[in-house]
Amino acid sequence: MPPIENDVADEDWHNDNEVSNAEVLWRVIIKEWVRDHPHIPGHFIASDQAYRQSELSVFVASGTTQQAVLDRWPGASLVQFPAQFIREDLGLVIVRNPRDTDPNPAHRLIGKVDHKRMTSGTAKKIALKAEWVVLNHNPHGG
Amino acid sequence: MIGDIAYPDLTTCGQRTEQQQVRKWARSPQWADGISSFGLNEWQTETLKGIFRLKRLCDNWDGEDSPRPSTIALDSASDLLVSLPFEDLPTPFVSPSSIGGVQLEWTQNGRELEIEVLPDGSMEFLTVVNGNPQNEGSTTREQVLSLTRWLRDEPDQNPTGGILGWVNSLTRT
Repeated sequence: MPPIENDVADEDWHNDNEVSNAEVLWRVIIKEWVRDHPHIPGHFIASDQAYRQSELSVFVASGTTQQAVLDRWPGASLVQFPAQFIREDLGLVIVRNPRDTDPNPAHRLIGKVDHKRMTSGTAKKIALKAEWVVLNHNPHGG
Repeated sequence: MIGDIAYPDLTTCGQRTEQQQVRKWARSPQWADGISSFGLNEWQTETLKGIFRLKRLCDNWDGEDSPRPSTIALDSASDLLVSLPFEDLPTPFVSPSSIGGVQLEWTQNGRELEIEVLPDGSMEFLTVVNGNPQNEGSTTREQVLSLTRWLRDEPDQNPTGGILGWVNSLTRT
């Protein structure tokens, strides 16, 4: 398989210290990733594919609004997880792309220190940790 | 409800008839008792429909510039699931991956098995027990058969271990 092309140069791939561990991060979840929770009947969860990337887009909650984020993904949902969990429990970095074209200043990227694609186990841990902020899709069509 | 397949309202590029495409993978129109008229189990038929719906995806289907699932990944995933000789597996959740692959996610008896078919047709797996990721890595179609036996908690039928022993050794806690 060809190597994954990253947007951020490796020399710019480092922790953004302006995002403290006390911050909450939001991740947009499109409907194609919403599924039944494997262990909690009646609850939903995002597939770990929603997180398994080399540069995972997130938004620092304190720097934006739900509407500002979701306006660009009509019908999508939103989950949250703590920055501390990402850094300390998973050993990932939270990065600000110096050449970010995203108009939202709260936009950041999450990924492995080595800038490679996240493992499925790590993505699964994020999926299980994430909590719904906005859930706009029922995979059963309700 | 038959499984939970990701296909409604995808960012699509065109219309296709899933039922017609399911026939391509059908083994025989003669089976009965839980086997569809196309020779596939119900869970296989539903999963194939989910995979075929992913063929409608355009590039940038997630709004993050992800490529559409490759034809190789879609065909390999289809080949894989019709090769599994189980009539009563749950229908897996079918998800596109951000690198142009396809993921199948099964849950049964507190165990989860995820098989990601990569854009080049190669495969990776993840096993999860009671919400705790256990093992992951590259796998093959032959090993997926053993992984699905692990998912079903079937006893190891090979006293010398064999490939199922390999799976159990990977997933032993």
